[in-house]
Amino acid sequence: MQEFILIEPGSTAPKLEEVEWTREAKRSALRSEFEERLADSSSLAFRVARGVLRNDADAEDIAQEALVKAFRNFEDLRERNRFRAWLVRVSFRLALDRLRSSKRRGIREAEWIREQERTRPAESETSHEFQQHLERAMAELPEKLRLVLLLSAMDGHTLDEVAALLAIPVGTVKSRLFFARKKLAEKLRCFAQPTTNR
Amino acid sequence: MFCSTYNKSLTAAAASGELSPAQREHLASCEPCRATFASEQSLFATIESGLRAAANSEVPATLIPRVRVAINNEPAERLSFQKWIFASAVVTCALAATIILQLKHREAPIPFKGAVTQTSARPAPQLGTLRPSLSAAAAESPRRVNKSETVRPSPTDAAASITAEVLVPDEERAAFAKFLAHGKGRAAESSAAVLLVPEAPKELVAIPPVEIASLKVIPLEGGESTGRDEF
Repeated sequence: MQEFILIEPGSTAPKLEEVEWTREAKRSALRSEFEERLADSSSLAFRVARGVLRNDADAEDIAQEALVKAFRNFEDLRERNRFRAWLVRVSFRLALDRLRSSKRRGIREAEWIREQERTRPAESETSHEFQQHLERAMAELPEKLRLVLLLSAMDGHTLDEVAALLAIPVGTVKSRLFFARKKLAEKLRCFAQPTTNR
Repeated sequence: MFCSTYNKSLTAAAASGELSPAQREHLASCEPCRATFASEQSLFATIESGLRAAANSEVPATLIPRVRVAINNEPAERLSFQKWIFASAVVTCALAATIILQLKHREAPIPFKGAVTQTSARPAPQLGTLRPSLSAAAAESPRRVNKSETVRPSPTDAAASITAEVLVPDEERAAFAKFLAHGKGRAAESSAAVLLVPEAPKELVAIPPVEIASLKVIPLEGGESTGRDEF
């Protein structure tokens, strides 16, 4: 990016070293600000991607891609809320694109099932099964409903926070959440056991 | 199963988690509805806990270091990428310019022949109108010249191109030859360059009146169409 230096009439132009120094200071300030956002929001990017892809390795790739993109555009995304909203949108989009690449899909599904079986040996078979059905039912939901459902379940986000992240009214969040839950209930009613309330 | 009156509203209430006073009253009095509502609530609670488990999965510890490494490698990569873009843009522009120039060269027909003929046919040629001949123009420059363009003769121009055709009235020819010779003192060449303008026909061309030798008028018969009905 080209930088311009404003010189007041009558004053002398700054030396090359000074210009370099100013530029370096600006860059390091931007970098430290980005580090804050990275610590604050990297989990958001990962979890949004994980919610779509259902695979940790792919979700990590997508989160990294989204965060590097965010760094490139960081001058426009310095405000925290704006940054997080942007990150959610980009992570979700990138994850969907990855999901649609049909070549890897079958392999990923198989890997995911194996991984789940490895990492959850202590969990009861019924709840594990229900979780699988739930994640499949979520994948079948329309994108808009799925994202609202994911964000509202994530990090204890309130409805207002979800609305701010998606830049939509709270009423819209409520209605999308309602329809998403209803659809999930319709799909999962036959798999649920009456005593599974935790 | 809910009672038919409350079926929709209680299902919706279980999904949203909000009960109206009327629904509360009904649930208090209706045992089957209460049981169904409890099982619906249980289903939604299971879904909710499953969603939370799916949405709050543990973030791998390698993510942030990976992002840092990618960002540190970023400037160099971007710079080289930008260089490639710049180089390809320059090459494209150069190619486009070459193609445009070549096309312009090709499409430059100089309509001097017609112009010269037209000028010579005029009864009173204007003083100082210099029109180079076709061969001279083609050899001289690829620039397209307007038909109506008037080039003022300078002594050097005139001396340089002896094939130029200059239209000067008879009484001013000697003076114009002198003027041409003024630059380099080549009077002989200059006077040879000044040619006589062919005389234009001054009288109008007479056109004889058109005569039709025989013209026979035949009236239309009653059965024939007048042409109106057809359209």
